[in-house]
Amino acid sequence: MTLVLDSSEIREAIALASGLTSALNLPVSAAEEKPRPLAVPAASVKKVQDKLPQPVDEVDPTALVYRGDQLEQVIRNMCQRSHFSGAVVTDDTGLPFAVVNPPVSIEAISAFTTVLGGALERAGSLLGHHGAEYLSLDVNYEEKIILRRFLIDDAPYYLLAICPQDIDERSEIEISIDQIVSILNKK
Amino acid sequence: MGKIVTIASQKGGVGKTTTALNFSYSLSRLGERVLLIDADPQGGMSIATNIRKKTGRGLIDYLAGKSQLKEVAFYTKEKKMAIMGIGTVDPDSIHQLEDWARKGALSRALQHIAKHFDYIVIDAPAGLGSLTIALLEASQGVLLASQCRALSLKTLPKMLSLITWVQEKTNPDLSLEGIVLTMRNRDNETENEMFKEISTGFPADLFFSNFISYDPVYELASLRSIPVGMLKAGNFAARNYFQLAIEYKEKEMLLAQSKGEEDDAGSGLF
Repeated sequence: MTLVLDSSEIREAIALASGLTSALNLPVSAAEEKPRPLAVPAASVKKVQDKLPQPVDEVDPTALVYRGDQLEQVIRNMCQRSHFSGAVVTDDTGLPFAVVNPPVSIEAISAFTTVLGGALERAGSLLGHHGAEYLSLDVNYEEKIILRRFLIDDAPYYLLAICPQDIDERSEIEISIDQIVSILNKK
Repeated sequence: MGKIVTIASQKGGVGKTTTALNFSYSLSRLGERVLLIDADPQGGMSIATNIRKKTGRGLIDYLAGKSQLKEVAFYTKEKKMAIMGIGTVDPDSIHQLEDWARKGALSRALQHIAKHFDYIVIDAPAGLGSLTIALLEASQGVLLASQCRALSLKTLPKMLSLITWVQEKTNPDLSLEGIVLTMRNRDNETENEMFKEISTGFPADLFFSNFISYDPVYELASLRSIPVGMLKAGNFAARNYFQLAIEYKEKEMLLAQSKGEEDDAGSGLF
């Protein structure tokens, strides 16, 4: 005579649990029977496939006529490739040359870029590391703002990008800076 | 992306909240970044941790877009453990929470939050409602809590059916991590007899070999709104949960191996 094993609920639980634990296929529990190869449900495969980055149709910036369009295309491509939320290129005074998906008004983002640029320059001189050119600022739990200062003929320019915190954005930023510099350098 | 683990049971009062809190604490002591979320509108976890001392806002307010994550999730004295309360609970918000659950907004939000932690441990409400289903749909693991009592054990098939259903319909990645027996009273002969029966009758590995013994010190910890491991008098009780967390991690490792992940023998250690 058993206390609970005879009850219909417990028998049902044992049957259901057997199905669930065999799906786990733990080596410690598989002593008596051969481990089954893990069958991957079609739904999981589709889920993984859906998560894979889809090819992005990039427009070649050099194919565009105007310099402003080319700059904008460079940062648009950068945002698409690396899932940045937005980006802006400005000069030292905050004048925006190209803007993609600004989170606030263009005036505000220009002003913010100048403020951050000033802070970057001041931090460099205060800490004795002149020529500081990179600033990363966590704005919330998910995103950060990256400010990259670069020089063209000794005049400072800024690329500001908003990107997810969990990515390493440096190489993407550097590639884009090279393109931006070559566009702005054109005579 | 962190792993989302829901602590669930169909029956109430089996020690889900205590398990969620102390299991999270143990995982964080093992070096994992853990966010413990109170997803039960009863707000047991929010009371048990006194998160309201920090903020009255929580999961509901985050989902409503009224608060950012940093305004509702707070790290504790145990540096790697953060807590998010249930937040503003009123009839409207509970209705809204269930609506978000049905429409998948809750799942999406949890997956978003999971990026910032190693584990998201969720204290689910008792029962099989839409909220529990949504939590299972968003989770990679579910850990069931049950007492070694007839009533509690007899509710298991309902929850196991639900897990199977979620696996088949919406979340094939959901894994039943095991059942933890709570409030075990070794002086109770009937309970001991039932324990023997389930140990032999149920598939091996379904129940964690480490169970949680009944100890009045849990009440003391509840009064102080802390995990039992933070009490000097709770050292022995806390060991149960530490051992459970270690067994859980070991099981996770074995599971990863059993999934046939290839070894790196060819490339060596460095």
